[in-house]
Amino acid sequence: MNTIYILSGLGMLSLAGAMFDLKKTMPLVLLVGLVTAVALALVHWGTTAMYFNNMISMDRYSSIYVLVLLLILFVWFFAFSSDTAEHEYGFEKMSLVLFSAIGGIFMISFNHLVILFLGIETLSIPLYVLAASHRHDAKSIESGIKYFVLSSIATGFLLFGIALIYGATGSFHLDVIQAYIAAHSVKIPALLPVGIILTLVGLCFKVSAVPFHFWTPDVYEGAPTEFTAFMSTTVKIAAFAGLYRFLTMTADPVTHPVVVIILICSVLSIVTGNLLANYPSSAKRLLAYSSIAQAGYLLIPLINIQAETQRVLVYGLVAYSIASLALFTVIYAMEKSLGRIEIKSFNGLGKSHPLLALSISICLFSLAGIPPLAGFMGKYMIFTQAMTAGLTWLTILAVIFSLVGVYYYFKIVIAMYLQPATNVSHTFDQRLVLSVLVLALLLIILGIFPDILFHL
Amino acid sequence: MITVSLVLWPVIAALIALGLNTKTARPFSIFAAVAELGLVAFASYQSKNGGSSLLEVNVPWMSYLHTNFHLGIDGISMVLVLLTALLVPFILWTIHHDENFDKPSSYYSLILFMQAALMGVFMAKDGFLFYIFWELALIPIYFICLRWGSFDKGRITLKFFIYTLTGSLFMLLAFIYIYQHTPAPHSFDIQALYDSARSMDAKEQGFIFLALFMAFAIKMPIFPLHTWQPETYNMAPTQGTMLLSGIMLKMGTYGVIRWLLPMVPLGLEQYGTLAIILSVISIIYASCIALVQTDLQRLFAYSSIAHVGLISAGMFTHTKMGIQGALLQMFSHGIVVVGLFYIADILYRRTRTQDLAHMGGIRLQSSFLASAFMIIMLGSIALPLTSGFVGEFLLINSVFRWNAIAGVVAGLSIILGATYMLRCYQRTMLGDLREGQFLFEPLQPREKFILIALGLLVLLFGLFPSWILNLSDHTVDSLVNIINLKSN
Repeated sequence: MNTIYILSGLGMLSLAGAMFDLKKTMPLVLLVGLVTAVALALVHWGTTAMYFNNMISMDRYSSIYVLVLLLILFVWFFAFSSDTAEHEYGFEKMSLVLFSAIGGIFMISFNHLVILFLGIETLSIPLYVLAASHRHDAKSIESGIKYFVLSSIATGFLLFGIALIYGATGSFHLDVIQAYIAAHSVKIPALLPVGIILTLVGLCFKVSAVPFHFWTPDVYEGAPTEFTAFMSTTVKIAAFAGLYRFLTMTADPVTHPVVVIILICSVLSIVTGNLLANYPSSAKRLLAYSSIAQAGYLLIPLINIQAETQRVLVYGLVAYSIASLALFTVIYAMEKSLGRIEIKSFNGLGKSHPLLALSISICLFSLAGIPPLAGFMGKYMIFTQAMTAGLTWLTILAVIFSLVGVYYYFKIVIAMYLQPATNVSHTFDQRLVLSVLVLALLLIILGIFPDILFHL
Repeated sequence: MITVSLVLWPVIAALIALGLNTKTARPFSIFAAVAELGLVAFASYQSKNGGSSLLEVNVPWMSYLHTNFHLGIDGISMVLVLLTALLVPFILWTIHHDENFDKPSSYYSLILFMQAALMGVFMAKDGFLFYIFWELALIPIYFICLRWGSFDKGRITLKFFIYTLTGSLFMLLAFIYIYQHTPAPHSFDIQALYDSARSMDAKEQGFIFLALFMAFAIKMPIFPLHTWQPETYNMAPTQGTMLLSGIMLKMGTYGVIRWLLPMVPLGLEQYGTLAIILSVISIIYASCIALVQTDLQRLFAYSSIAHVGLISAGMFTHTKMGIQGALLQMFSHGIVVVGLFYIADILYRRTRTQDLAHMGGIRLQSSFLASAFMIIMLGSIALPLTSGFVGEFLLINSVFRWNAIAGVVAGLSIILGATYMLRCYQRTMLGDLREGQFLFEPLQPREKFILIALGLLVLLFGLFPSWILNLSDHTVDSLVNIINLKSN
């Protein structure tokens, strides 16, 4: 709960800072604020509390996600805040990022479906603005509008689903709904499964699972890269956390239709994401498709929730988010001097910036699932879960398509080490390079010692 | 403790080498590799004196995955560990860098890193750890080929990478499957995996056999999964080819001995014949292609497929003779193939061609090279008193006892091998000088020394094959016992 207060305070502070000339100090203040939030989260580790008439539940589960979210947010602010502060309306943008993160925390810790809805809206509305925040770039505006329109439809589904669940059970509270399902396990009104499925559609849209993915490539590509970095990590984490919580509370007896829809989304995402990622020449678009594919892998453990699922999901999300954040940071850094980043923009990076190229390779290898990096461990755990659930065919499918993944991730590696540099040598912001290095190092450490995350 | 340092020391050395400049990287990395060889010698001395506690390390690693960091050296591992430690100094030493050579320090560093991963593969006694090292070995060789390879390297390295990754992912699936059938709490320990897999029914064991065989057969490679190999050997820089053929190929054969044969006896019963037939096909197939090859490196690449085919056929007979022969032949093949590819490199640097049609008469210009080539080549065609002979004899004998026809066909490999190697020797060394041929630059002392050393090794292990055979004797005995226990 402290986190929500601190983030709101920081957001307000950032807005207030816009009135004064605080371009140098404000990013620092925000970072200090975030460190405080992390510290407080650690101090209150392991305590469980309910807030707002049991509408928000801060338990062990949500505190893990909140911590991950805060750390991602910290890296984001460390990498981007000083640049963003220089932008037109920079302070407003930073406060929007913070408010959006608060929405994410609502989604992580909701115990009441209205809070889930509020969380999704609080998360998304700032993102529409941020996606369109390059006001002079038609692509950015297009992405904002596209995101807004499609997202509204998905929210409509979600709201409709929530209404149906309410109609069936008479409550918005997850625990009441769960109790209702347990009590009426034989005769459940048809409204309930329909409601659950519609709600899932809304959430699947947020994790950009196929067939609700159409916005992803355009929005990821069109939005300013720093906000794509934010979107591809925070939104995914929050949406998966919400999805997991929603499923554990509601899915039990009505398992069948629910599982099928998750299964279908997962298979379609893995297949479509991996196949389509081979075509784009734009690096951001490639990563957008890759994020769809990764969402497909992360959906696998949700098909059959077991004791370990929660930790597997956290690990998989963290591994994905670190790599994704690092790669978008790299693209951001390159965009400064090169404009639109294509795969061939990476040409020759292996020679001109060996350390950075190595870090990029590590991130790509991790996404491709090469041991001993975190991405491999994540995938491995997911595959184990699928095998335990008896889904051997799905595992084989996922394995085959992760080989397709190797092909497109390695396109960038090959460009870096094989092609001669075509561009004038560019220099990168030290701060951005440092962030990427640290993130890549984290991927190695988490890969070799996955227990760090598992003992949380 | 020694086992850990065998893996750790090359990693540390690789990191140090990365930071050194061009001049110091070379002596340092050679020193590091020689030190590693010293460590291995110490380890083998220890194992002789029964100091097994030093050779085994087993600590919990990932609690959720129930994986232990379990390394150990027994007789079979010792042969491969020794081979790796013996070859890497040579491989490092053969690097010839002129001014155009890009970033030598990272080249040395990657080779050392590769050594660490290979050591890990040969010592891992935990399924998951084995898989990690197995894949880890792929990363340095990928970069070695990608950055220092010749034409069309982007496409070929990617093909190579995806090919081998496909195989290993199926191996991973098989391991996960077995792991989940271990008694709870599950374990990846080699013994637990053995027990679990052996208690499965024939159908399950069959699938596991196929999945594992695919991974190992791609690495070796066995027909029809070999199509990545000639291209890759040809494109890779000389040291990359040496690593691939000298050591990495042995990952596949080692994998069969350690992780396939004792794991699924019922699977072996069903598909062992298929494996031997494929191996024999790949002997004949590769030998026939080698007969008509005009490209020196490709010729050696195909001869390597033929040799490994014989090794594989011998192993799958799962007799003591076959496995011992396979181990000895792996060792010998490693030394010989490094020598052959070094000679190809020496020739290429002087004549700028790999085409047999453009060579000839080199004997007249460098009789030293001709003699060295002769010795190493004789090792390759397994003449008595060279290192190849005893191994090949044991292998063919074991295949012959398994089935006479298969034995005869596999025995053809000696004749075919002699034919293509001698033809190659004739085309390159003998004959008259070609018109307009460049002046053949005399060998440098370093090149001479390496060739002498490799030639001596070929003769040494030809005279005393029992050194290697004794190393693995006990372990192979117990391994064969385990295999023959079938499924009780």
